Amino acid sequence: MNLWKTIIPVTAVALAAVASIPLYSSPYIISLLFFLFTFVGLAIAYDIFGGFSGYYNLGFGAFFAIGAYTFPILSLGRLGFQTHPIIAFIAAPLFSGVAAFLLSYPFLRLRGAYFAVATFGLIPLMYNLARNLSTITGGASGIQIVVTEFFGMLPGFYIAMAVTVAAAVTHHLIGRSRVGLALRSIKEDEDVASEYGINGFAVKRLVYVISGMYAGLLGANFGFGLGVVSPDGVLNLEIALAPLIMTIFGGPASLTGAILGGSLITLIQEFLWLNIPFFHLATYGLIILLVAIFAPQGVVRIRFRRRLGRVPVAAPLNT
Amino acid sequence: MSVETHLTIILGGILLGGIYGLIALGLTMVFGVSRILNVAHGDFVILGSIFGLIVTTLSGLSPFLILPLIPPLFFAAGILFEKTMVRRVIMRNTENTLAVSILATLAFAMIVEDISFFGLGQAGLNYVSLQVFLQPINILGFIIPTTRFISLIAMVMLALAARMIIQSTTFGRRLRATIQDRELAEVVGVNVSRMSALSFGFGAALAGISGLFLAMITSLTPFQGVQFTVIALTVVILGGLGSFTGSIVGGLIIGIAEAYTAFLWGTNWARVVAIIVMIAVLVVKPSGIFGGRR
Repeated sequence: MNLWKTIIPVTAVALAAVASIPLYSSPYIISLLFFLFTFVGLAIAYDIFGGFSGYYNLGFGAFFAIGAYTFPILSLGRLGFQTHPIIAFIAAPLFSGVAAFLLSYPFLRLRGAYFAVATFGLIPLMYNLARNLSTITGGASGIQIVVTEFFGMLPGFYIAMAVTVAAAVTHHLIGRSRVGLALRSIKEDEDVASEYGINGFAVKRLVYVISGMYAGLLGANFGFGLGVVSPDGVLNLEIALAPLIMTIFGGPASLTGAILGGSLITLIQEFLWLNIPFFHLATYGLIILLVAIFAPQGVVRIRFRRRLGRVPVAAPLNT
Repeated sequence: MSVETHLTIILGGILLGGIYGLIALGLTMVFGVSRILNVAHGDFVILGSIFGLIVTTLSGLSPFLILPLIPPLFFAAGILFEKTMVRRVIMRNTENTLAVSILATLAFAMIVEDISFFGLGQAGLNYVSLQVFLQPINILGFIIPTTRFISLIAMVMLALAARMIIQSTTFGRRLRATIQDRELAEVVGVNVSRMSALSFGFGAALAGISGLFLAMITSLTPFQGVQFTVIALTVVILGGLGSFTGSIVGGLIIGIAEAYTAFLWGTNWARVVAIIVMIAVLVVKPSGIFGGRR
């Protein structure tokens, strides 16, 4: 517990320092921080379910998109009735949660690769729905969110930061709780876990919904911050698979890993966008390939895997 | 709708479904043998169509005539892919093969897609298309587009050939044994790592052929690679992972469903229906239509 006495104040000071950055920096830095916190938050939210349970939720981006679309659809009255933006903002994670709850029925009965493969289908499903239901979603060009009173990116940055901190706390609490323990035992061996009285489906569903709700909240804030929600903006493959790439890069089932992976991948992508006019996707692919070759357990577990006994190495996956 | 309309839609659906089935067959074979989820499988489809485009433009031959070139070339490419990407990258680490296979093959897909997009752009092309226009033929009063008809026949023959190879040859028996139980297959003398290489070769050859046929009926962009993987995965989940019959039947179901949706509501709804069909099947039977075990 002594460790926490130092970690908590240090984190608080660091967050306060980051929160004060917009006071003396350019809009570019604010937007970079906005993306950084959104993606770190997504990586943590993904890891709450995917990291602990060992399930690869390739459809995670769908919940992000549901949140991103719910906010403008409700607050701009796309369905024929208009709600207050704050209510729409609260509704976004609830809608994602409901979607996760409903989708848990077909998907969470699948295991290993089957789960990964089936949930991957959610991305094109949502993409095509967003494109086709053009009266509600604005089709391919999406919905413009006009923020008149203030610059959307700045409040977006503070909200993203708050949500990310909340997600990190949730990740930590779940990791320490009975639910986290149940998820870890599911990762080791789901059949044995159920023989010891763990209701695997219920536990997985609970955490799947929590993870999806954070994604929805971050999605709503993403659209709000950018000022536009479009199928190519929130449902492209890079965003959809980013949390998976980030958590594997950082190290699954580890808060440090998710934060590290999320920040590094976001910064790398930003660097590539700015500095490489051609083949930026190919370069990004090359970096992922290097991660797969040299750090398949995550950067938090490179080399000091043996020295730091505290970081558990991911268990082999039962397929 | 008249009978003729239905017939045209079903014919188109079977053709598309047959192509999906062949793509899915390769994917499920690779997964069954090596337990690797190859996200880049769809890129072999696109590479097949790009190869077709290059050869037809350079030689001026009909796409049907260059068909025999694809299987040996793509078989070799698949084996090369297995020897390098799978052996050297994915298999380096035995602890979380699934995650690493998704990451590594996705990275490969990104690289291939970006480079082929750039290459096509240099050639002044936005998409790959090999549409050939032949005189339509008239059978029993039904006017049938010749290209589609020949493709359909070729598709059926390919599916039958693949089935024969899997069911009756020694290679097929070893392949099925490896899929059923890797360790036991090894015990009875099957060279499992050789099977893994061959399955990648076989899968790539099927994908390459499918790409050539697809380019004859639609136009493709390099960035559709992963999209075809997703379609193939939908088909595989629908039919049951690891089931060969399931891939073909699943492909036909998705193909016909897409053809009807495209006719009734427009092509942009086709993909939505395919995935909804998959989710509906998962609710009823989580292991897919032909999937015995999970």
